[in-house]
Amino acid sequence: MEKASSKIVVFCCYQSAYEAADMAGTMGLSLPDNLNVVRVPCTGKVDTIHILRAFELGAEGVIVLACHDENCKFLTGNIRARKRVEYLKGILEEIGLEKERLEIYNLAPNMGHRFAEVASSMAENLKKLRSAEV
Amino acid sequence: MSESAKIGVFFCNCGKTISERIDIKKLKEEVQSAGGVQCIEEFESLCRKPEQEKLSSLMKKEGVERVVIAGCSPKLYEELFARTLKEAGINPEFLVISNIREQCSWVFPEKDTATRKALEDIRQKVSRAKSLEAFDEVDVPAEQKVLAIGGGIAGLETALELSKLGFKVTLIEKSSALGGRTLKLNKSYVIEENPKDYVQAKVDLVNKDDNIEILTETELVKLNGSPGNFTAKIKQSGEKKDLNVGAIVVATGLSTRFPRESYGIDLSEKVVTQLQLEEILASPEKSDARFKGDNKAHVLFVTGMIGEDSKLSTASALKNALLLKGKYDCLTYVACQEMKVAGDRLEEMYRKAREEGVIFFKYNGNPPSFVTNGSEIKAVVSDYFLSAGEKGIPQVKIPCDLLVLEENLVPTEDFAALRGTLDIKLGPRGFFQQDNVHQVPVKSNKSGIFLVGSCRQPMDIVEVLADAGSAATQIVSLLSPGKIKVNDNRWTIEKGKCTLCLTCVRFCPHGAIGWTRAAEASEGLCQACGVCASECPAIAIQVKNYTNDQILTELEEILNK
Amino acid sequence: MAKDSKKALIIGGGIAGMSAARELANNGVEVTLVEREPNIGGYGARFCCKASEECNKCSVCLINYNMDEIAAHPGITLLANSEVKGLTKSGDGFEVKLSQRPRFVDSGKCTACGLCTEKCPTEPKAIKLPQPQSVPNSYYIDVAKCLNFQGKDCRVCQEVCPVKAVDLKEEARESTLTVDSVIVATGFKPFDPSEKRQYGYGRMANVITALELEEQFRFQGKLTRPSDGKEPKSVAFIQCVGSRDIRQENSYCSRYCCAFAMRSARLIRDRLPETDVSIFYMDLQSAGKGFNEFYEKVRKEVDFIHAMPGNLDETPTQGIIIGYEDIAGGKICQKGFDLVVLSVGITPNDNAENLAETLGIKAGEDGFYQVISSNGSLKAADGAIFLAGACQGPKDINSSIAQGMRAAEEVVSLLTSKN
Ligand SMILES: Cc1cc2nc3c(=O)[nH]c(=O)nc-3n(C[C@H](O)[C@H](O)[C@H](O)COP(=O)(O)OP(=O)(O)OC[C@H]3O[C@@H](n4cnc5c(N)ncnc54)[C@H](O)[C@@H]3O)c2cc1C
Ligand SMILES: Cc1cc2nc3c(=O)[nH]c(=O)nc-3n(C[C@H](O)[C@H](O)[C@H](O)COP(=O)(O)OP(=O)(O)OC[C@H]3O[C@@H](n4cnc5c(N)ncnc54)[C@H](O)[C@@H]3O)c2cc1C
Ligand code: SF4
Ligand code: SF4
Ligand code: SF4
Ligand code: SF4
Repeated sequence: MEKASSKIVVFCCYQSAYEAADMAGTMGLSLPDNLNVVRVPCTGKVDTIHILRAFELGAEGVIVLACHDENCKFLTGNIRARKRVEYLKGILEEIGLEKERLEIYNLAPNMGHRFAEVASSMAENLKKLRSAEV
Repeated sequence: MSESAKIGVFFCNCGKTISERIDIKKLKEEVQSAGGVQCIEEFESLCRKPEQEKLSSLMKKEGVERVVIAGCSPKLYEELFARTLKEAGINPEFLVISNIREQCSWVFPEKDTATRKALEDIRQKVSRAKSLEAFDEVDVPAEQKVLAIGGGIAGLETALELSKLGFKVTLIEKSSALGGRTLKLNKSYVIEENPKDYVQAKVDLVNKDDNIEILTETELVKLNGSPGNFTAKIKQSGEKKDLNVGAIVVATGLSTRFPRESYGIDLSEKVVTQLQLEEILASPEKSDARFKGDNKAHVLFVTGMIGEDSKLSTASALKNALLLKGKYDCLTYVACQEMKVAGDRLEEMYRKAREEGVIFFKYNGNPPSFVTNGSEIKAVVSDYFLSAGEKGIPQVKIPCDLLVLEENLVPTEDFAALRGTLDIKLGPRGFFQQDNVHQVPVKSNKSGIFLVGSCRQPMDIVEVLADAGSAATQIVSLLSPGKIKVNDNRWTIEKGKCTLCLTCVRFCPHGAIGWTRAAEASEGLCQACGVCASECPAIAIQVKNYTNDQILTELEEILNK
Repeated sequence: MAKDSKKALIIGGGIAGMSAARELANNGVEVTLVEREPNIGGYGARFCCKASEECNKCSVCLINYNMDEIAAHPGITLLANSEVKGLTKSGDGFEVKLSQRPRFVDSGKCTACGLCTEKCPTEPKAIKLPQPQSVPNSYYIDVAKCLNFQGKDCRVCQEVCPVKAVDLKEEARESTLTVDSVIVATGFKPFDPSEKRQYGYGRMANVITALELEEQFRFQGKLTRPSDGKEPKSVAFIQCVGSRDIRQENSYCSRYCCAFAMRSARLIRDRLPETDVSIFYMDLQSAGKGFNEFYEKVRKEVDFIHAMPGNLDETPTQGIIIGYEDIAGGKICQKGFDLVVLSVGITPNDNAENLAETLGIKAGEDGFYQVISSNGSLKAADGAIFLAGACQGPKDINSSIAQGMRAAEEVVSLLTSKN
């Protein structure tokens, strides 16, 4: 079993990113194998405490995947999520974690490629951070 | 949370696509040995009816209370499986789907990796299943009655359609008469009938309709409640009264404004807005008096100078230029930035106008200027397509007997007050609808309130009719047959924790939260997005099945704690 | 709604047909949705999201939401691969003759596991999903590619399918259906730009259509030049290709394309920030709310050229040179691009006339179906037949949705009044 410290937690909005993740799978696009998806009804539901706790428990990175600005089915959930992520990036730096470990991206349900792209780029960045540490 | 509930984990091989790529046997053993799961079974293709029946009877027999289905994406069959649970007497909220097909077996070519990822996901979902709480859908009675605000074509048509579909409608109109702006038009470019007769016919139908109550000089002053059960306070000549209605139709139209600052010229006998010209032409006496005679009048239409983007001004210019040309043989000119022809019949009218000798100028960023000398008006117009290289763009002086200027289409004067009363969000330029494709075509951010016609964006009559139909069908499916399903206790607000900071009230995108001694949410309006719960600084709000504890449980499982 | 259930037929499962189907079914009408292709969604199911860092309101994601809803709706029966062969009045309603072409895979059984495709020996595969997000979510056999239909003895898919969904002997099926009402929502066909030789489509590799751009982004997730697979450093959109053109018999404006080009331009600038985008146009048409504000944003990122190109030439490296008249400067100009996108117009569907004859409805001069009165009703004939969407005239997704819902409402209203 892999250690928790190499895991990436992905909060997926069920309206958009979750379907994009499915599309990536259906198209057989390659994805990092340390991704764990948490399905949320809207990223408006992703709270600061959830993200912080994920890091506290040893997650190496966290991605929040929301609908595009002005396309949230719940209107402003994604904007609230972005605000929180931006605020948390500051906190991460304060506690000595790189802010690249936390990202938020916007996706539509028809963007399978984009899902694969952002997941892989997070995995890449984390790899770089890891090797820089050594 | 219920640690003791009986949990079933059901694997679907999905033909072989999952079982060939994932070691189901190993998964079963791992889940078994981890403990806490009472019933484990493997199926060939759970989406097929016979296997669902098998699943259903198995669950009943074993007394399964929580269900994890490991198979394809919930996007495909979650609703189907929810129905299966219901049939087996299990609350559908107790279903969790572990997506080991789209997000595991199809992603990882190596069987070991795929199996490991599948196991991680199943564990995460089992922990989630344990933490789920039940809530029910309950039926609340829904008033079979609708309040329509605004007696223009939008309000009239929606009322008539709703009446045909068996609903009662109260139609309130601020002014003293029904009909709205269409009464002022001389002609419509989309419908053949004279617009006045066309709306008048609708007004007559509404007047005759027993299902429709008409209240003129009436306004909405207060609104409470939720879909199915709104209480609307209306005011008619100082007298207030309460109405109970199931849904609200907002059809208050728009206003026009003449932006003098953009044109640098005042309105006068010789300078009119497009709407003023519509009114002149709508009256044969007035228009004969102005345009009949031996001297052919020079008429210049100007559009595109004032930041409007609606096709209505192009439409109005084309139809009236053609009319003045045809009926009075006027010399007609149109100066525009852009020909907005993306509407019914417009390209055809544009072509016809050119054939009949209407002269067009496309000024492309060099708008006309106007020179007045006593009562004489000259317009200096340039045309991009006459450009002559170094010599620059030639300018043409047109003496105008009548200058017709496009006006701004703006929200009605009292939109801000009405917005406040309805507690809905506005869109670009203050019109009544946010610019979010999920609201296409007539939804607002509040369930049960529909935005119809030109109050949400400028549009022509045929588009208004499409809106009216869309609203009517959605209202009928919302309110029939006399009841609405809402979630019961989806939500908890701990009264003791709520400090009444009203953060949630401000952030709820759906206007679902009000307050008395603590914040209170309306089950009918809440769409369970969870924004309030995440924003509440006192952590007083939890949305069931996405509570902090539940999300944290999942995280802990993922991260092996 | 009526107590005894009413039935409606919807022809065409594009966004207009889907919107109508959902509204009818929500109002308790039993809906049969007939779709000619193996999957519903129409053209919109092939388009991409055009968001830059913000949603640009192209409405394409609404197609996905609608497909999901239709797939899950218990009140809608979906018949893909099917067409209407005959329609006769029967009482107040109709008797409809349907014909279903074989799919060779039973969509009621197929679990979309994909084993068949994996084992299918042809390349490209003969058995496949219509597209990654397909409703019905079932495979089908493309007869033109399948070995079995070329006289070879291949039955690999049939043998490998674990749920026995494949039936290579499946035959066309005829059936009849009585319905109370019909909505026609058969959509359109994009203009074929090879008819306009000066734009080089078909002759020059790096001239593509709007549809090809949409598909590249949706299915490949990026934009490349067909000639060498490289990312273009400069892209031109040419507007009104096959629209607003009397000589081409398409004398109308197609209404979607100005907004399409502007949104796509923003998408390209977002993905390929180094790439320059130009738009050649006649008149810019508005679409959506706050269009002028949107235009101001696009203008900062994109070069708008107020001229229609005269002709296109190819360079030795397969770049495209566009010749046009710089009107303000009064001279003929040339500008080179890596990729040219033709914003092709909306034209009447193939066989629109045949279907019109079958249904007893009329097509207008421009080939689109016509309503019978100009009072705003979508009725297309004396009986209960209604129109919705681009089969009635060019329109964008939002207008197609509104019209689909309006048509549904007219049907419900008619059926209610009959009771
Ligand atoms: C210059 C011009 C030319 C046009 N030309 C054409 C054309 O050729 N063809 C065409 O099809 N369309 C044309 N239109 C558009 C057409 O006028 C509109 O589509 C139509 O009037 C919209 O109808 P409506 O019901 O949405 O709004 P309105 O007709 O404006 O009706 C709104 C009604 O609501 C009432 N109201 C407002 N606020 C309140 C309140 N708070 N409480 C109660 N009642 C309220 C108003 O008094 C009014 O009666 C033109 C518009 C303009 C400005
Ligand atoms: C390249 C391109 C890009 C576009 N981009 C956008 C955009 O970004 N935003 C936007 O709003 N609009 C866009 N549009 C316009 C959009 O495609 C249309 O508004 C929309 O597809 C119309 O929907 P529809 O349902 O009427 O027709 P269609 O999408 O054409 O659907 C019709 C359906 O009917 C089926 N059918 C046809 N004939 C029959 C028959 N005889 N029997 C049974 N079924 C039949 C078809 O297979 C199809 O599934 C674009 C158009 C093009 C060409
Ligand atoms: S969950 Fe909260 S924020 Fe979301 S709609 Fe319900 S009340 Fe509003
Ligand atoms: S750009 Fe289009 S597809 Fe993308 S989110 Fe916005 S409306 Fe949806
Ligand atoms: S193998 Fe069978 S079940 Fe699987 S996709 Fe092919 S046809 Fe469908
Ligand atoms: S929308 Fe624009 S590009 Fe399309 S036909 Fe109309 S003017 Fe031409």
